[in-house]
Amino acid sequence: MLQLKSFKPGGIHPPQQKLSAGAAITWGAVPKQLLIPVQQHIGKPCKVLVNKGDAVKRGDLLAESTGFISSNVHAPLDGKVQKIMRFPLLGGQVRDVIQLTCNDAGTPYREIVEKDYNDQPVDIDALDASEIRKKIAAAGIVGMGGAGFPTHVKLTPPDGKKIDTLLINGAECEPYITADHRLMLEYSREIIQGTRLLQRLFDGVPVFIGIEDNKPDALRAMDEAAKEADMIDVVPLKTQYPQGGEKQLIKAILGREVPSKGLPMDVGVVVQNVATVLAIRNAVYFDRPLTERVVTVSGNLVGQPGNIVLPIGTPVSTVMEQFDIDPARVRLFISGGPMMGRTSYSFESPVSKTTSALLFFDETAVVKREENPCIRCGNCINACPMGLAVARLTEMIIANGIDPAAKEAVLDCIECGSCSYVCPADRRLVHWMRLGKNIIRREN
Amino acid sequence: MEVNRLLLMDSSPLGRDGDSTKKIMYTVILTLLPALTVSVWMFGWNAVRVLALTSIFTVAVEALIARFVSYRIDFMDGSALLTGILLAMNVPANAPWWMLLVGALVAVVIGKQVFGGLGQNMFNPALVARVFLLISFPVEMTSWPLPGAVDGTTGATPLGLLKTEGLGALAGTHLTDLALGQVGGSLGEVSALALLLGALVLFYKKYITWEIPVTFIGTVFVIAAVFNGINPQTYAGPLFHIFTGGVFLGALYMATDMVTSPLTFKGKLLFGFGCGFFTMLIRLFGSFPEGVSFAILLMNAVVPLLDKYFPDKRFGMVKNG
Amino acid sequence: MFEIILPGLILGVFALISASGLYAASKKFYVYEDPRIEKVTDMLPGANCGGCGFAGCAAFAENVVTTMSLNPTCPVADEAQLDRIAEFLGMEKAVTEKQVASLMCNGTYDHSKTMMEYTGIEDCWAAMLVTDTTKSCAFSCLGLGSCVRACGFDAMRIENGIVVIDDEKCTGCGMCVPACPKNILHMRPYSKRTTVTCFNTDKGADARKACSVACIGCMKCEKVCEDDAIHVTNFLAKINYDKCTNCGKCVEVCPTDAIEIRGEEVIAHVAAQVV
Repeated sequence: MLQLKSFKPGGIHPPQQKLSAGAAITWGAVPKQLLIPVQQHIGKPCKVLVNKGDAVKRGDLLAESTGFISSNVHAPLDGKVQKIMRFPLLGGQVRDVIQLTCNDAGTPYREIVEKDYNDQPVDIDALDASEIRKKIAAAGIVGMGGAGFPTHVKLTPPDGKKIDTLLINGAECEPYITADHRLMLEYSREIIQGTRLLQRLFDGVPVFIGIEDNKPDALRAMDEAAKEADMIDVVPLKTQYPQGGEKQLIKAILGREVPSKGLPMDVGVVVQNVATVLAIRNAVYFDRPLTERVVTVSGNLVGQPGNIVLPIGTPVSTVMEQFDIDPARVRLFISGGPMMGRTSYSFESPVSKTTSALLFFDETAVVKREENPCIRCGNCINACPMGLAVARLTEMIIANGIDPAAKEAVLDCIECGSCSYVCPADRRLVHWMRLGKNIIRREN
Repeated sequence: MEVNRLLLMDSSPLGRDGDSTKKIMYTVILTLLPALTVSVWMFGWNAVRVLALTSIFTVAVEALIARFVSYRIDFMDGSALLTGILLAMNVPANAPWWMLLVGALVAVVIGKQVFGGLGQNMFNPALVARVFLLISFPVEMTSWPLPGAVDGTTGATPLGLLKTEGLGALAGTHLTDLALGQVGGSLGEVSALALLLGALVLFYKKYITWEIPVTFIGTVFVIAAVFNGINPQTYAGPLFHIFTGGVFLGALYMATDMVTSPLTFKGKLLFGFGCGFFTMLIRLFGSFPEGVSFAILLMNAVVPLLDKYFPDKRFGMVKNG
Repeated sequence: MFEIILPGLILGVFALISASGLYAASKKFYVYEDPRIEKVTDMLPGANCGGCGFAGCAAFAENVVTTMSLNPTCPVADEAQLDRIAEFLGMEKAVTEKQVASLMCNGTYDHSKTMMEYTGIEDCWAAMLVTDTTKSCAFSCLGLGSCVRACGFDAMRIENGIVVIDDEKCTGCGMCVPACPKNILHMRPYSKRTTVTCFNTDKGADARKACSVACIGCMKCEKVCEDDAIHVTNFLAKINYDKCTNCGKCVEVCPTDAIEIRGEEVIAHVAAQVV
């Protein structure tokens, strides 16, 4: 058998736990209220355009981007602005949110969304590259894989950076999460449409869609959809974490190594997540801003794990009602996957553009972690996909003496969590590395 | 019970693969069982006595430190027990109890805890103790009971004979005897094959990697082969050298000790090479018949340097193409 | 006899050669240093804390001598010590009052609600990577002690979820201020004992919901102050210590106990001095 493509060095194989892989995407009812975070991206904060008491319609601009690296926020539903306040978001940050009471509370959300796609799509052949980029920027699309970097910025490489390959990231290497998996199964045609749009932005460069081989049905569906498209290939990848890391994906598919401190465009590559590609397609074909996303709801407290379309700003508590999750039993609540996701402490926190999963666990799933002394076993170093001497670097961070050479290495950390996962002494290696990055950034 | 309902907040990742320090330590101890069985078979109840005493002494010393020194020590994490067993494998079966107590004290206190406890020690604790005993009590540490000798007769190890009497004295020793353990020596020196059997499990579990054992044994082999080739009348053959003394015990269990070996690939290769080189230097030209312990301790001292100056290649250390 | 004299002679010759070498070197490589720098260094407390902004006491002394000014000053030295330096250098007396750190938060476990069980690294900056706050107030002291570790004078400790500062032990070096990720440690003059123990800029109702002793921006203190020393901006009161007279009127009117006056006996002492 052919050796499946994968990255080097490092990598781990955590249990996949793709409990919701077989559950088709569902649509809930419109919630009573939405709490729409004003900032859902990396970059400059937005300027809020609405005031208390304003009536807004689905698709209206609520907050406007204030620079190139910034992103718009739109209203997912018709409603009235109640208040703009500070509120805990998923992931523990306390930030401004726009509280919106919805007019159509209780009606099926699917009906509202599908109305948008009844119209004739715009004539995409008439659009040139800059118009497509403009539409993407206007729609407030950010990287939906988790980082939340404004997509139009990624699609506009600076002069002198020649893009020769486009990668579509369907690896979904995190345990539990199946949102992208279901999208690739149920919206493969639309994702390929979006992919061809992106291909046009870079003058028809070859495109590779990387999917881990633990999703054979998604591989088949995408292969089928990509059949008549030119220069779009679906690449099966070895199931290995973190296959979906941008730098790892490039290494696996193209064998190119993004230089330290560099970006994918330094090796002529742009990487986009499949959910983002779908949002791009909707934005360009139907002028739909990014106002909803598919979220995996899973964990050992969820009787029937599933994937659900949620309007941005939906409070988690309404999702918990739909999935019949007892809040009193939840001990650990993660937004995103268990490897890179963030814990949250409020069930009223809203879903944002970057929320790929909501995981609920009870006491039994919690790993008690007392930090023991490092026994220099080297597991962290072998697991690190960036080839970092994690044990040595964290020692320096703890002693508060990171030497200049080590600083570069610390900043290269992608926080994938592989090192902490394999550490027999249960050291909080990723947390230390994150603290180290924070210390270095504060010094500068 | 209010507090229990609060949600946990912590940094990612939130899962663990379930490996632990304890698990590693006890696995290593279990893999030593074949070698220990051979020792007991060879030396009888004396071997059991030595094993039991060193194990109890090291764990007891660690427990006392855990009790009376303020920082947190789990004396049952297996590391003290492993040190005790490795110490037992490094002494003769007829070692007196007080010598074992001194060894345990040296191993745990000077070898480990003065550096700051588990993970902080520069030198392999069991080897520190062995070398301490070897220098302090040379008579007790070099009168080796012969295997199967019920009357308590003692003799020299093959390496000791080689040093004092020359190659001719070894005429009656067969290689199979060496490999299987039919020779005089310390508890752990006797059977190379039993040690290898246990180490296979460690390789499978990835608790040790090939770099150090292979370069260590390989270096010993090559150097012995070169000298044997030059003058077979004076120098013993390469197989004799790798199967006698502590080469297997040292290469598989002592030099690969996680705490005191390098973390990087090149560092490990150099470390293994250094161990082999110094072992042979001492065996061929030193005043001691055996050099494994000294060689490993010498190389332990340079581990921080190896780690620092021979780092692994980082991802992205490429020319900007 | 000769056996004794010969080694003595040899060694003596060696000594002579080395000594003249040393002498020549000390002449050739002599660097002039103002002798006053060493004297001033000796007069300093010698904590080498860096609170002045220089790399230790010697560097600070050099700056004092070259600029002939005690500004920036040594935050650790007391008035008498600074006066002695000023006198030695023939400067005018440099009377600067000792500053102390104070916490703009009183969000103890009793006053604000604990919202989570944080199990990460015990450090405020590390916690901030996981969550903005551990309590119901987003501005609250995290109580994980990054400032305590930054303090070189054992003047801080964590008590009931917030940091408590010992004004007597605090030398005003200011090392704790940048060590706080919530930016709620501020310096104030030692004798000015009135502090607003809140940093919440949310609207009154929201602030009150977050913490029972939050400043709700009601303006009562601003109105009652006769010295124009306290002002509310962004729903948060702030004291101007140049004007504050420790009268304590704002403390009395504050409906949420968000203003605190510390150590009544010290106030009396200061008042006596003023009279």
